[in-house]
Amino acid sequence: MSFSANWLQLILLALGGLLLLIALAHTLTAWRFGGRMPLTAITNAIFIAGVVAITFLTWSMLSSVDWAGSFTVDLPVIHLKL
Amino acid sequence: MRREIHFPGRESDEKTILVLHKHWLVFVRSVALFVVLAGVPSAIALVWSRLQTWALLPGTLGHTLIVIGGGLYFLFIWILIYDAWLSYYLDVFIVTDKRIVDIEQSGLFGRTVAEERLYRIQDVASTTQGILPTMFRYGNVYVQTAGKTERFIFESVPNPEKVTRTILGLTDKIADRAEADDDHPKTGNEKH
Repeated sequence: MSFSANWLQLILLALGGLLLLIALAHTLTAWRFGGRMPLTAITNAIFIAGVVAITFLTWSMLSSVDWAGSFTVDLPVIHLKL
Repeated sequence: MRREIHFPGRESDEKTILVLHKHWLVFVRSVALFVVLAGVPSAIALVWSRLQTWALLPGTLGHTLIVIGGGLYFLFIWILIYDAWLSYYLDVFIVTDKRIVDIEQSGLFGRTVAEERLYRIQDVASTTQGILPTMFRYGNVYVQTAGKTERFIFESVPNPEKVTRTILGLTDKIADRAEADDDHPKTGNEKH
């Protein structure tokens, strides 16, 4: 059985985008309420670096995926005795 | 280096006496939980790759799902760790020579600022419960007031007894000043 990777791409992109938006909202909250302090800047930088690293690592591990193609799934064969 | 705290209605002649965050151990404990949550799948993946009973070939659906799922999972954990940091960093209890201010960050967009004048404080108490709070000297400080917010709770602050003594000392000073004013009322208006 094979199916297109497009739907998977869409769902995962949406999830990833949502998480990145939440990450951005966190940095804005820290900046707004924490004040323009060195500690706020440092922790924000560490956080953003972590987000970028995780995203880049995931992306690089998926470099061999042919997104335009399709995945093949081998389903177990079920024999029915009638 | 002392962090400059901005809070609503700060008066120009107001002197900040205490700026309290929760004890650092509270933050470390919550981070430790997330580290375990991140470490367990990593350990399973490591053992799995060492055993090599069967390998996931790059480009297959299983590999793709695990990589993306793992990426999203670690991103989520990383956000939770930062969320714990924000909660620790932005929750502040401030004691000035005129009032107490309790700033609480709940979630990303929820922020509560409660304040009360020192002369409205009726009672201050502190509790230290548990092994870790006793060992690391942190606990809760309860401030009973006559205002709208009847009870302020400064949760898991370092040296709760010292904080209690400081607040009581400030309230005593204000009470003494008020008594002195009553005994020797200003007579400036009587002179004509």
